[in-house]
Amino acid sequence: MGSVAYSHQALAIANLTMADSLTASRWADLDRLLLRPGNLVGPGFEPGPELLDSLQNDLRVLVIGAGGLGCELLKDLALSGFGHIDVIDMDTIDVSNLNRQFLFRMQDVGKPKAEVAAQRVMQRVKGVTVVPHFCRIEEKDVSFYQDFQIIVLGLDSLEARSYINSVVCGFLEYEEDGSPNLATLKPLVDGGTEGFKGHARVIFPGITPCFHCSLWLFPPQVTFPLCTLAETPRSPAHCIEYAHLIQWGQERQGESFDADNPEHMKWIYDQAVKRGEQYNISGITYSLTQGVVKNIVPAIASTNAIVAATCALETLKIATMCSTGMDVYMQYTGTEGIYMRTVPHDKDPNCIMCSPGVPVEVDNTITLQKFLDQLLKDSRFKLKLSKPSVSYHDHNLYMQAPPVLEEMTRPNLQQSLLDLMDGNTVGVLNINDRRLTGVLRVRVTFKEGLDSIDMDTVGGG
Amino acid sequence: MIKLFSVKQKQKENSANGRPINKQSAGELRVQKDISELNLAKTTSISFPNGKDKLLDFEITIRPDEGFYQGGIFIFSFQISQVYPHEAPKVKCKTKVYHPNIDLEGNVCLNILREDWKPVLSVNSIIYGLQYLFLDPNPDDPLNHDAAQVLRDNPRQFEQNVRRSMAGGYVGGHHFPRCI
Repeated sequence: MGSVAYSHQALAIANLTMADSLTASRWADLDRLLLRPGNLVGPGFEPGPELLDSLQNDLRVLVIGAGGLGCELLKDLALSGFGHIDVIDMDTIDVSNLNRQFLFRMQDVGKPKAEVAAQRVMQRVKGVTVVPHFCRIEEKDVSFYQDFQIIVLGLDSLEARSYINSVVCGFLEYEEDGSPNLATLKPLVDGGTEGFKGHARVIFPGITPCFHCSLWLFPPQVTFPLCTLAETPRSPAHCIEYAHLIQWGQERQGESFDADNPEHMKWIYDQAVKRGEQYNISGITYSLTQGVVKNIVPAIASTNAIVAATCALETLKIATMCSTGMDVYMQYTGTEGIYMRTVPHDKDPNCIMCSPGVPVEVDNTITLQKFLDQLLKDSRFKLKLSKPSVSYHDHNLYMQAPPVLEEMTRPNLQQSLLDLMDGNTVGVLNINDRRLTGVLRVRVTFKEGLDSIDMDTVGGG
Repeated sequence: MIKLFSVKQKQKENSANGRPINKQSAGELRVQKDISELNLAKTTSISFPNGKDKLLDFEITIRPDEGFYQGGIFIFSFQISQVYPHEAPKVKCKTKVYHPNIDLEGNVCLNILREDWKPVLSVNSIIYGLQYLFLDPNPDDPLNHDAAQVLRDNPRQFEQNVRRSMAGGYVGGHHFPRCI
């Protein structure tokens, strides 16, 4: 260390300053980060013009959501040098979005958010390509997500985050020693906001906690007993939920309630007002109705801007290593003053979505029945297994109960396990058993010739 | 922080295993556990209308063998969400029934389905709760006010109403299809 490194640095800075004063480079700010070494850079950071080149031409980033966070994210990423961005959103533009989803204007109301956002960003940032996808995230084939190097989330529900998390954890494969295969590791940057509060986090499946590892931290949703709604309403929310959950089913039979349909929402509001009058409850407004029915909190532009900027910066760091990455979860509150805190989290070693699973080697001719027998004799699972049920991805290979499923899956017991696992010589099986508190993940590796060890005589007998 | 992308040696994207991988959601994994450990009494049975691999939507049939509803056959639909057990399953009664805690649209007033749901509960717990509703209908927490009132004021009349509704008749101006 010391003088040699320092003088290299000094030279680099001198060159940069000279370059700045000669040409007003479009990416001068990025050059400061990407063309010179530093003390706060990420591991393996290699400064040079190739970094900006890869941002512009090679890396593909997917932004999920083109709403409050999405608009900010698209702007920030495009201005941060990313050249190929895709955006997916199933919604159309509503008037209430216009106070903060700044890519949209009055004449855009009714059009798909993803398409308008893509157009506007490409108009304002020269050279960026933004490809819109106007559909639900579940409608895309899982292989669609594999094409992107980084996925950034601007979502508004636990279910959507859980879905993307399961897709990305599904790509993750483990080496024989239990460490994640980095080529299959797809990082997620997840942002979320609610009023004055927000969070930003990085997810490296297999290394940091995945979304499921920390799902238990979320508080349960507020629900009211149905009988309270029916007999003894006391608050505006009770009146609204009564109209939403009970009256709709009674009076508009056959019609499935659509929270995004303004006529449906207005109907709920009108019924709730009548009920409020009946029970002398005041305070029912249309926006409260939307809030209760859709579980939404009024959105604030500054929160979205802060969280999205944090996410875009983390995306830049993941792509270039230009600075130390977030470790691992940032919380923001703007209710009184401004407060930000970044906390490390540990992943759940038994997480059903991202953990490597206990390694088990089996002969490649083994049947499912013999595999279960082998597990029961394995000393690592002693006392934990009695009547295991097994599944592989979305196939239930063998279910011990209930009787109807046991019958349906019993033929699989005589099948070759390798065939049941679609010929994959390494894979993770999910094992359930009465004696286990959670799901046991087992990472099976098929080898040749293990059959010669007679499992029945191992251990003496 | 891990270096994933090296520009100098442009890594080939892992499309060698280009097979689309359909992973199960957390809800499906957990409901698999619940179902593989179900302890069904002989009064209860389960069916999977979408086959052995789709466990998120199923039906439970309860045939009470004692109490007011003895001999009736009641079908409940269960819908499990992706984030189960963070959220309770959505349960509705598909059989039209005259019951103080079940309304005519099939909404069931059971505390563990809503405000008292905890992730440590399971499909088994809900089935016990539903069975209990038939063994011990509760007039103090009503969704069907008329049924609750009759049960409170005149249990013999309530019993007759239940038998008439299960046999396929009219009670209080509503027709109940036969379910016995």
